[in-house]
Amino acid sequence: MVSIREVKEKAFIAISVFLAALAVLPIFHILFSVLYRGLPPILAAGTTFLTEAPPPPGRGIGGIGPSLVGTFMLALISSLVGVPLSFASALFSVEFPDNLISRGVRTLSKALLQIPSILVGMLIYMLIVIPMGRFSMLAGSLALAIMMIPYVTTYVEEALESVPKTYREAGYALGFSRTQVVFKVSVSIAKRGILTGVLIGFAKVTGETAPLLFTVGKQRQEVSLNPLGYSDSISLLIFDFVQTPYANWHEVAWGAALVLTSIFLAIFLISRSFTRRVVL
Amino acid sequence: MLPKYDKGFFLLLLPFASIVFVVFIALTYVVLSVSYPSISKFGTKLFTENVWRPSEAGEEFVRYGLLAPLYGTLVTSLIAATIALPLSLSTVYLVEELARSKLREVLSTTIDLMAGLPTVLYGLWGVEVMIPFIRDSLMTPLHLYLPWIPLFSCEPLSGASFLSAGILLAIMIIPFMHSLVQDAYRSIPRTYREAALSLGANRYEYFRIMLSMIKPAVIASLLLGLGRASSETVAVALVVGNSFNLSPCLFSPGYTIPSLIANQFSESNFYPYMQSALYAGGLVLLLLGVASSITGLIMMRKVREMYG
Repeated sequence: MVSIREVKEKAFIAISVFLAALAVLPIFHILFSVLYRGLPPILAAGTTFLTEAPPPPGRGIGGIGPSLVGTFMLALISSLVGVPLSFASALFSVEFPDNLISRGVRTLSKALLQIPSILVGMLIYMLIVIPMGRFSMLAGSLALAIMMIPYVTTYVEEALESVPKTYREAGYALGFSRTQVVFKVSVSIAKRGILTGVLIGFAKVTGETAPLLFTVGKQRQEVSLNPLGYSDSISLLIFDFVQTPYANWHEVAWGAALVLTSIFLAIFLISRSFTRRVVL
Repeated sequence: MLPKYDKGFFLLLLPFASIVFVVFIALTYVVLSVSYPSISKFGTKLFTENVWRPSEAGEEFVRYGLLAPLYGTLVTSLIAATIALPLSLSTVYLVEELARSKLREVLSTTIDLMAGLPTVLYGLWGVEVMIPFIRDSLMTPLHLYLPWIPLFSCEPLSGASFLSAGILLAIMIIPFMHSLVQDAYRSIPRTYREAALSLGANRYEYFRIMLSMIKPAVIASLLLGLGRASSETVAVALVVGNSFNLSPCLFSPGYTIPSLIANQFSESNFYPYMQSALYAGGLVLLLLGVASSITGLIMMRKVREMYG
């Protein structure tokens, strides 16, 4: 005799396994699709896919060189701006936890995580693009820096907080000053966690699209290293090309998607090897 | 009072720490000041009318109303949260209770991967792979067999629609909701778990009891998930169809506020009041984001306080 309770339990387990499978299935399909549809255009174009400019509409594959360089430049500049700021603000809120400013910083950086990324683009448009009179790599980088600050701050905070109190006390007992304790004890113990945070911030900004829509200027015909000039990113190129009616631009978009996915997976796996749990 | 060298350290870090304040104040100021002209010109009609009439000819012809994108934002994020909640609860159950260490590792890596994948990739997959699939296997049959239900009353044309956006958003917010529920779930003290088991609860009853203990966190994940979904831009812009539409039918194309901004911002300079109206949409997003994150944070704190 099977009781109704047992039936319920069996049904519950079956349903949760099914729903959980349903939840994670899309990501595998996405990765599969990116490989399946992204590989042919890359193979057709060869290594020039990473160096050439995109083709004219309707003919050829070309490449994504300028956008690839743009992506790295944007991620680099935004990290140069964002990482020190995040690090300092995390240090501040860990070292001086019980004051109004630190509590405010914590709450606001959580709130900033919830702020739509497109608003950051609209903010930079008014603050940088309009006064400068043009789109620029710098404007895009600043938008991305704003996006990465709350993430990196949260990670660095967590890493610093995980350093056991006794280690810090040992530092003080040796006669270290607070600054010495922070840099010689906390930071060096939390190194891996901090590095993970930085990598995650970097990964985050490589894939970000919305804040770049009206800030970087979409220069994808020639490589530009000028921070005050136009730039582009792979994600922006994908977004634009897939909305066009041209079949070859769609192929370029899928190829670009494979490149973007590879960059992302590489950073993901590296940061995963540093710490177990990584949430981007 | 802090010792002297502490004070120096404090003051040294202070300007850097204040950067989030600066960003926040700047954002609020810019969004308010740029949206002010359109709000004062159109009044509440800006949020209650469905018109989008740009005009270069003269200001008297211009009219803007954001009702359709507001409606679309609401509908798509509600669909997303409704789908994502049971799915993310299931993944939490699987990761925390059912799966053995190997599978658990794979599952949580997968969920982390989902959380970080660039959103434009979701959009690309959504528009080129997911839409054709759900149009043929879900939308068309529903429309054929149940056309008298208003939700399914219209014919799915391109497939870009409220429903497509809702489903894609659901996929995108699952990892986020998962991690919120998971954090709360882990905070339930061991003794409570043991108590439930010692009373003879089976797996189903056990999980229900556990969930009831973190109810505020589940609600918070729903709210924060809604907030996430309503602010997503590029993926939605690719799959929602981008048209001013108030239809109750889920298969019709629509707009959300972020997708409206993504689409119209670049031309908005040429038309009087258009940019201002778009920033008014941004203001709504800002308010939604702040409101959902504050309520969510308060509810999450409640759970943390419950179990110290």
